[in-house]
Amino acid sequence: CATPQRTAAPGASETLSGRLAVRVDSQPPRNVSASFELSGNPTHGQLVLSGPLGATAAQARWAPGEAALITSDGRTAYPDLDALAVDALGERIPIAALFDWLRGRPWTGAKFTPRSDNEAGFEQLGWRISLARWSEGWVEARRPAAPVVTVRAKLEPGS
Amino acid sequence: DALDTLRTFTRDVASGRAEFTQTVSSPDGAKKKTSSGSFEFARPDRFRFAYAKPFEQLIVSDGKKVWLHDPDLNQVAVRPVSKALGATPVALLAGGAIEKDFELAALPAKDGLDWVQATPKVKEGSIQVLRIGFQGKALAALEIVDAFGQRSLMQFKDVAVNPKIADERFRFVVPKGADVIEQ
Repeated sequence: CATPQRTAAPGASETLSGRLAVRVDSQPPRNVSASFELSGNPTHGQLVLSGPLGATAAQARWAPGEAALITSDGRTAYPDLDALAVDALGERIPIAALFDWLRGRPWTGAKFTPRSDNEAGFEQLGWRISLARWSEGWVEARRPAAPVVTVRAKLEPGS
Repeated sequence: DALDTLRTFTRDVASGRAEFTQTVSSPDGAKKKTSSGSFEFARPDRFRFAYAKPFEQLIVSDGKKVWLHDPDLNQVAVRPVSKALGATPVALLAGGAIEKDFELAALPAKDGLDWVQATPKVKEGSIQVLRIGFQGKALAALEIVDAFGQRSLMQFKDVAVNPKIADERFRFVVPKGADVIEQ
C-alpha cells in the first residue's frame, strides 16, 4: 500500500540555517546576533536562535492567529509574528517579505524595483536588499529610514 | 571517584590546551550539527575557543572581558567576564571557584568515562545542566543540556596539561572596521 505522503503545509519550505545579525540604530541601539534555523513560512513555522557555544538562546513559533517567543525565562505569547518582532526589536520588520529576502528573491506580496545604485539586489517596501555576495551565501537587507535597521545573514551551504 | 578527579583537575591543572569536536543534537535527537576547533585556557577565567568549522568564530577572555568575534558577520560582541561566565560550560573548565557556581555530583561511569554532573546554582542563561567526563585523570568530554532540551557534546583530544601559553593568546584586538557591540 502507498505510504502516506507527509503533505507539506501550503507554502512550506525546507529549513534555512546560518548566522544572523540584526541591528537597530535606535537609542539605545538593539542588536541580535546568533546562529539561526528558520523553518516553515510566514504563516506557520519556527525560528531557533542559538548562542556561541551551541546552547539555544531563544525559540520563536508561530501559526495562524498566534505566535510565541520562548527563552530560558519563559514563554511570551503574541497575536502574530509581526507583534513578536516589534517587541523583540522595537521596530516593525516585514517578516513575510524577509522569508523571501533571505532566499535571495523579492517578496511576491509587493512590487519591487532594481537598486538605485545598480548593485545586485532590489528595493522593496522601503528596504534595500543587497545580493552582491549572494554566491557566498550572503544577504543584507537595510531600511535607510531612521532608525536604520540592518539585517545581515550568512547562509550555511545546502540550507 | 569522578568528583575527586574534577577537584584534582581544578586544583592541579592551571592551564590546558585541546582540540575539540562538538555535536549539537535537537531534543528529539533527529537533527545533529557538528563543529570543531581548538580550546585553550588559563585559570582563572582566561580562555580561547577558536571554532574553525562549519564557520570561523572566536571567543576570547582575558579574565576581565569576553570577546566574541564573528568574522562572517564582521562583528565583535564584548561583555564583562562576570556577565559572560557564571553558569557556562567554560566556567566549569576554566573557572576559579567552580563549587561557588555549581552543585557537583558524581555520576556512574558511561561510554568509558567517569562523569560529574554540575548544576548551575544561579539559573541564568539557558544552561540546564553540565556533565564533565574524564578518562582516568584526563579531561575527555563536556555535555551541555540547555533549558530547551538541546544536548551538545564536546569531545576533547590531544589534551595538553599545564602547557606554557603566551598571554597574547588570551587577548583580542578588534579588527579595523568590525562592528563592536557592548553587551
